[in-house]
Amino acid sequence: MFKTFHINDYKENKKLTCDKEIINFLNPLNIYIPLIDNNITYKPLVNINEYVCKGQVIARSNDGNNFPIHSSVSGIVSDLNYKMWTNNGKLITCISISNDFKEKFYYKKYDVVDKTSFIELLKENGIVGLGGSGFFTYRKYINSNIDTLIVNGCECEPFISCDYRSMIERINDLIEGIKIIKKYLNIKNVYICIKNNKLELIKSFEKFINKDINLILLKDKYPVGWEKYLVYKCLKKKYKSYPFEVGCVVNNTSTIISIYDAFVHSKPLIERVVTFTGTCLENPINVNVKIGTSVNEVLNFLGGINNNILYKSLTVGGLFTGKSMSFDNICITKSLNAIIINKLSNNNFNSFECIGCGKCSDVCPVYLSPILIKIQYLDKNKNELKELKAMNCINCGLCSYICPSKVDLSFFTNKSKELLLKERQNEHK
Amino acid sequence: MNINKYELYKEPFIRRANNKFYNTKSIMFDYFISLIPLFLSGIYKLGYLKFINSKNIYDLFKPIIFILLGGLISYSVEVVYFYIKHRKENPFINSFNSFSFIPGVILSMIIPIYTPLWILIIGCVISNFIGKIIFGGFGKNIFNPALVGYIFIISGYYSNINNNINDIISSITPLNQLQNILKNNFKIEEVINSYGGLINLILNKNSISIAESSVVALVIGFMYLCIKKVIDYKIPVIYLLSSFIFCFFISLFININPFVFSFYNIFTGGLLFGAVYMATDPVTSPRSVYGRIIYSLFLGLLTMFLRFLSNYPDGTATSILFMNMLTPLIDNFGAKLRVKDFNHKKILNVLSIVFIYLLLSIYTIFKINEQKIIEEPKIKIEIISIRQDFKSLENNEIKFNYELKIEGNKINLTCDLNGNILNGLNNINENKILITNFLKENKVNKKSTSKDNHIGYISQVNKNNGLIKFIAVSMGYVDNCIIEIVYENEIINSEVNLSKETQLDGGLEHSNGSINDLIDLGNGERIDVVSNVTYTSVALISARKAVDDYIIFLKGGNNE
Repeated sequence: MFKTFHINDYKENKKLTCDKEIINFLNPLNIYIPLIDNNITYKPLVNINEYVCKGQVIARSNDGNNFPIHSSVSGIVSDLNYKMWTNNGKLITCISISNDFKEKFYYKKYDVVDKTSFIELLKENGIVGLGGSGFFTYRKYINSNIDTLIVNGCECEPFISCDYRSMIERINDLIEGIKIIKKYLNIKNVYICIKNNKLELIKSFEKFINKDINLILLKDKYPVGWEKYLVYKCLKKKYKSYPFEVGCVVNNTSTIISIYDAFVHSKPLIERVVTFTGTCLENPINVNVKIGTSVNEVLNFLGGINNNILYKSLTVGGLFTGKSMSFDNICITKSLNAIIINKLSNNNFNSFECIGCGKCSDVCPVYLSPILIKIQYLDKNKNELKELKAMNCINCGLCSYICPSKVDLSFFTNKSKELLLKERQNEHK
Repeated sequence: MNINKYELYKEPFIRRANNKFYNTKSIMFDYFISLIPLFLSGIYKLGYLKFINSKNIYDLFKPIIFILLGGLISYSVEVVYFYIKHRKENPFINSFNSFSFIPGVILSMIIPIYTPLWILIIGCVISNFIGKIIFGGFGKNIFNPALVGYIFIISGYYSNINNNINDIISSITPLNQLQNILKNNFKIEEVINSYGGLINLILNKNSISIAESSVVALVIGFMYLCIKKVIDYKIPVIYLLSSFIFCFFISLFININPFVFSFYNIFTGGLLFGAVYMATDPVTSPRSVYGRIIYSLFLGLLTMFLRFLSNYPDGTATSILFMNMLTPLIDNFGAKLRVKDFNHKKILNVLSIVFIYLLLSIYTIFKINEQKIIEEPKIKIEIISIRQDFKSLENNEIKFNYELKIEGNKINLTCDLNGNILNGLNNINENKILITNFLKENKVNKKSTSKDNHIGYISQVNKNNGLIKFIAVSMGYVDNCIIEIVYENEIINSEVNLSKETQLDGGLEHSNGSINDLIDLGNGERIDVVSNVTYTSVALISARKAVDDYIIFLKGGNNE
């Protein structure tokens, strides 16, 4: 019993890219690997002017996991302190490697015989969630009571279609990946969730459906790809923090395709599909790029942007949950799934008084009241924020979307969530 | 490789309000458009139909003048405010942007159409100034501004408004009749029939303000608002349901047909208009979902509570203002209730609301029943005849024999001059208090202008060897009119004494002539001396009749 909301406008925007095939851009001049990703710091294992091969481990994480990052090209390490923008809006120190275009590949084959070795495969190939979360995939499978796999192919944000195109073009690889996971992790049921208006995709899935693999069709609403909603729809169960509490795992389709690549071709996660779209681009399309490519190189490859338009904005990630950037020397990490460049009109900045219509409370999927949270945040009342359950916010952005007075509601809800998290961390110390 | 620069702006980057057909201005505009059917029906019913009856051209344009004047005055008040506060900006645009004309327009729709214009102007100034500006302007007011002005007008200028009525029918609204139904035992079916039936009552054949002029126009406006998602449909629906259920519940305890009573209460007064346009005002109603449900539940209860138990004919305005005061409290409570985990505390919170609701309902039922017990049903009492008991005159006692018909039964009583019952109280089966009050109202010793209700009596008798002197008395305009008779087998002397009647009513000349010269009992000949429609002349006629009766008694006739 969770709420979703039907977005009436912005329906046409997926059509900008979802009917074109994926193109490749696999020869950037340089790649940049950030050393801080998703609040985890990485320690570089290479030095300047060292030669690295494609697929070689060049950094490992500093916490107890020792998670690897691989180089996507072969070449020489040129700098260990290069600053680039990343998709959390900050300038981060990166390792920069200049490409020698020889594509010298170093791969290490892992023999998989059982669950433990499969998890080792997932870890050593650097597989993370490609839907935007960046969460280490192997940690989802460590628990022993897992018997269901839910494959998330919803892609509920407008403008983005990278998952959809990968599914259409590599559906056989997706099914093979599902079968691999099923075999080595003893999974009984698989649910594939897609939206019910993707008719071509539904037809292609038909021959793979059997008693174990089910196809669940969801309505075209937002936020359907939310984990709790999917688990409730497929299994009718609710959980508190993680899906493994009810014995299931939720994975993105692109993640499963990369698991297939890792298992069959011994290829670590060094490429991903990114959607480049927006009203300012002449040729919006999905591009398969190497991890670490800079965004302005890809834009140049696509034909540049229209410089006649004065006011344009660049958004990293989807429009509901992404961040706005002023420069486009952004390095593409594993969790970046779209770059949207839109025209801005002049009346975007005026915010009016709250008239108390209550639409924000009507539309919240987690039943919060954002306007009351904003008022309490401005007074810094932590107890009231706790009772209003500001911690439950899923950062979907619907409250700001629906507000007729353009009040910055999701901004304040995020801030109050951060405030409560900080206090909880202080308490633990 | 060249790096491009972009505009940075705060998230989120996708807003429905960027669409120019969906933002605050369009919401207020839709709110205004939905009032148009009511404008048209008000102009038709209260302007055109009245013009046909009265042929007064001012009546035809009065509704339009009301609406325009209301909007203009409230707009100008805020123009002055913005001019004083922000001198550098354009005050006309600022006032328009803060939707200052809406309280004035709504106020002009809810006051009676016969209000003088200067009262409307005062009301608009008060509603914008006290209801909106001193709280901080648009979006910060606590009370509904139109209702602030309305309550100010009704409390201060009620008599000025009601002195202006041309139509006697309009002053007795169906809601005033409600007090009669509850306290004075009017039958509800008779009241409804006097308005032409329930359907006619609903279709408002006799409305006094633009807001109540048509239910159909209001329903059209409501549906337009719901389709455009300007208001939350829950508030009016729950408000009306709550009042309906409350009336239903109460009518079961006071022996009135529940459906008729409930529909009568909902469709009269400003309840429908208040539920759709005033209670749903976004600034003053709660923002959380559960908060709105609690708000409208208590609104329904409070409106009916004030209607039944207070002196206000229509409790809508006061109840909405009261709940507006409680909005922040309800909001906080409702928002926290919705996200609570389902445990015993949540159930306790929900039950506390239900408990308050039930408590208020039970209190109302008790109070209404209490008022009903004091007023007993009226008994039919008729006086058949009053005669003086001449036998008791021997003992110098003045007594009267009353023959009454109480609910079809004949009862005989003996009373004194002032209507106190001396004998025969045990014969009465019905309410003795009522009969005692009735007798006191119809006592012998009171003045009257009608021969039928008035009697005279003999107050003194002196017997001396066959010579009988007696005095006949009857109450005139100020005091007793006296006729002194000396009798011995026939009237020897008669004298009229009007010295106590210091203020002669009707210009009667004091005359000492013979008694037969003075009064004429039905021939019509000598009536020019004494008219028989004034207090004094009626008193003389009654005293003369008492003399005749006593003479019959003295001669030994039956004292029937």
